[in-house]
Amino acid sequence: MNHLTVRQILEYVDGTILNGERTQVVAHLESCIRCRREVDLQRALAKTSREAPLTNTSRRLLDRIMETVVPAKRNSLLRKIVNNLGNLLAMLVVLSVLVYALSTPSVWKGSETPSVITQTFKTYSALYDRVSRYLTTESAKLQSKGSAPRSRENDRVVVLTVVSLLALAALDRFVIRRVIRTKL
Amino acid sequence: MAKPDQEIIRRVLTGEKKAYVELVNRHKDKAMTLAMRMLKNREDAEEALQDAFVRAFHALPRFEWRASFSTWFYRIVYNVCATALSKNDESQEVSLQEEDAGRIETPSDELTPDLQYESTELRDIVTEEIGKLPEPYASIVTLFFVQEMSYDEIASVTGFPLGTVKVRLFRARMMLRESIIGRLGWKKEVIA
Repeated sequence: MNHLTVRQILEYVDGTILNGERTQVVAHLESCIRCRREVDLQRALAKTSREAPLTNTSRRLLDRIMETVVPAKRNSLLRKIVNNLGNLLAMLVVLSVLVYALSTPSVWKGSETPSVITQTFKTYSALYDRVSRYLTTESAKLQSKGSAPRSRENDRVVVLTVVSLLALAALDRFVIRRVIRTKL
Repeated sequence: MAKPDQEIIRRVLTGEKKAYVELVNRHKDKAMTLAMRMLKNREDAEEALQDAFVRAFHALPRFEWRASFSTWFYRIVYNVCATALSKNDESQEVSLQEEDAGRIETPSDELTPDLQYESTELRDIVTEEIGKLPEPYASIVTLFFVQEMSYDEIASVTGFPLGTVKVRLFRARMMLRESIIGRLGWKKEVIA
């Protein structure tokens, strides 16, 4: 008995066999158990092959692809300021507390035996006083005749704010972040 | 409903480059399966896949929609993997018989009647054995069953003539059949 060829069986399983030949294949399969089993086997292999699990990629592959095709833009100065706005606001809050503490003598002059922190505040305040006096003097020299003298207290607060901001920003940028980067 | 590839490509080409991530997510697993079966090594396959996706991105402006995106893209994947194979000198060309085999071997009449064609065991064995197929059979079988490409599309992706694709596909499926039979311990009976 002639049996079906590999091509006939596989094309029949795939549904790509020509109509004329298909009729012959169907007729043969009705009487040939061996070819029928082969068709069943090939059908099962085809189905299983189609349903075989795919190979997943790693999580980093997508990141690597996108980093290559869409590189991250370098932040402009404005974007850096905006990104660090939270830090600046936090420093302002700290600074406000400091200003309040320094401009309210009762806060740090209450105890007869000042603590270490109180002494630190005193030193801090003395330093600001000196800077404030210097800047006020220089500012007065630059002012034109006849202009009303500004409040010394207001100048003190302004100077305190600006110098503290700069000092805190420098501390954050050059000390704290470096320590965090190296230690963590 | 998932957006067609064409719409995503249009968005990428009009400047929305980050939309490319949708194309990558859509095709990466099937492409990885093809690369893995060709290169047999996960690290090499991911490297090739990354290269293919980057090349495809840069070639998008030149894509003319003569074929589907998947056919065009898998041609890139196939070529990248084939190049990697040739560099590793791991391509294995098996001598082919251009005519279909006149003899087939079927399981014997002692085949157990309760054979579970749906079993997970069969699925695992088939997956494993496909992974062991040498090139070019592994890629052709994968393109046919995983990417569900027609003979013409496979010929377009691989660059082989249509007749060669058919013969190699049939040959690959018979190789798969032999290895499955061997693994399952079926007895063979040669048909005269």
